Amino acid sequence: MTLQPSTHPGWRFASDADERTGRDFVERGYVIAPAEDRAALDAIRDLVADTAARHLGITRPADAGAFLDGIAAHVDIERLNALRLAIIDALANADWFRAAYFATARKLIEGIVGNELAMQRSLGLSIQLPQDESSLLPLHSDAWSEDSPYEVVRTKSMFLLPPQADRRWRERMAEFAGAGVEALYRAVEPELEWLEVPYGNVLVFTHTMMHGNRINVEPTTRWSINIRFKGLFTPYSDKQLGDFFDPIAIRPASRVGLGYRLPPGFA
Amino acid sequence: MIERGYRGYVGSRPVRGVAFPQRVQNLVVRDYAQRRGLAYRLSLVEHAMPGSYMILANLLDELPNLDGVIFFSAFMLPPDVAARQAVYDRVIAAGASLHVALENRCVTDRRTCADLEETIAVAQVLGATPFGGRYEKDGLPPAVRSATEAALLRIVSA
Repeated sequence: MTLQPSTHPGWRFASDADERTGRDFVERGYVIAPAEDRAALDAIRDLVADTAARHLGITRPADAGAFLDGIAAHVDIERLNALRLAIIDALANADWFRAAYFATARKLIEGIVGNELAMQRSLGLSIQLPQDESSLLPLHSDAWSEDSPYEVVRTKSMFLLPPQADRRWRERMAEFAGAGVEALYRAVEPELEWLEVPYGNVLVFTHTMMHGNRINVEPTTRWSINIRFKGLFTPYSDKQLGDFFDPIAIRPASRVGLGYRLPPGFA
Repeated sequence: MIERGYRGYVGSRPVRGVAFPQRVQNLVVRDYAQRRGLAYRLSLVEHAMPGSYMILANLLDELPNLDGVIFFSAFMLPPDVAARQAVYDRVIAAGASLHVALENRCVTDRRTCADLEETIAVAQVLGATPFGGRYEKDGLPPAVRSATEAALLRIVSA
């Protein structure tokens, strides 16, 4: 018996949750969600706090969050980059870090990007002390430089230009060819969306949208770790598989395909 | 312990479609060696003829006298998986290591070899995926890659 549209139970390819997330991502350009693996997030924060304390030669307080929020009391702008590099080094050398980072947003990334994935091999770390003018990220889109538009970034930006406005201003961008990026920033500023990502949450956004950082006017330091993800078999730009990205999820059928050879000897 | 050093290996053919000048390849190899504290020994240069790995064969013969080799890129390894495996086997059997400077990684054992092979295997099939696995920012078809071809296409299209 053929099921009629009015009587079938509503089979669909995507779950309601995936559809909702996908719609949000396309319409807003980003998703902010609670970390899926809080223990992984906390382990990363602990490593960051331990490394910072060791680098600065101080005893790490029990409250890692408060310590990192108030790191400006222990480091000045001149020594900030050395601290940043020490933390990047510690994270890069922790063999569990990349898997833990992914675990904090596994389902979210699989829902938005796909389940065969490439992950950026290195990591970016932003530490913005209050009122620090040295760690700014001018308005940009990563797709304007070495990245393909088939990528998402986990955390990075303080503000985003929402997709509709981004499309509109992108069409007009050549008007600013002589005036520069800061003029473009001032033009788009009224339409920017400023993101609130409290600890315990992750941000995934498309870096095709214009985004960046300004001076941190909050009383506490702003920390973020950014790493890019993309569909393993989607087009790459100058940040290529091998040097910039590595496969982190190859499904069994693809492994079979990668290793398959037709019977030889017929040529 | 005698330091035998790490021999560089650069090429004369494009790597993944990009023709890097040998001077640039050597800079990348030397910088990699310096950052990792490896004693760099002057690079050998592979032939320009497609499919020639004669210099690589010499390099592998030299392995007993080296701590390892530093390729400019992993994508200078032979395109055939069995030929690549033979290279890894020789390196591992010699107790040496194979470094690939552009990709900033090294092969020292079966696990690191498998990791690198996974990346190369996926990269090799990208040409068969949508858009040839490549996002081009000049708006030209993926097949048009040289500056001359691009200029000709623009003249024809104008």
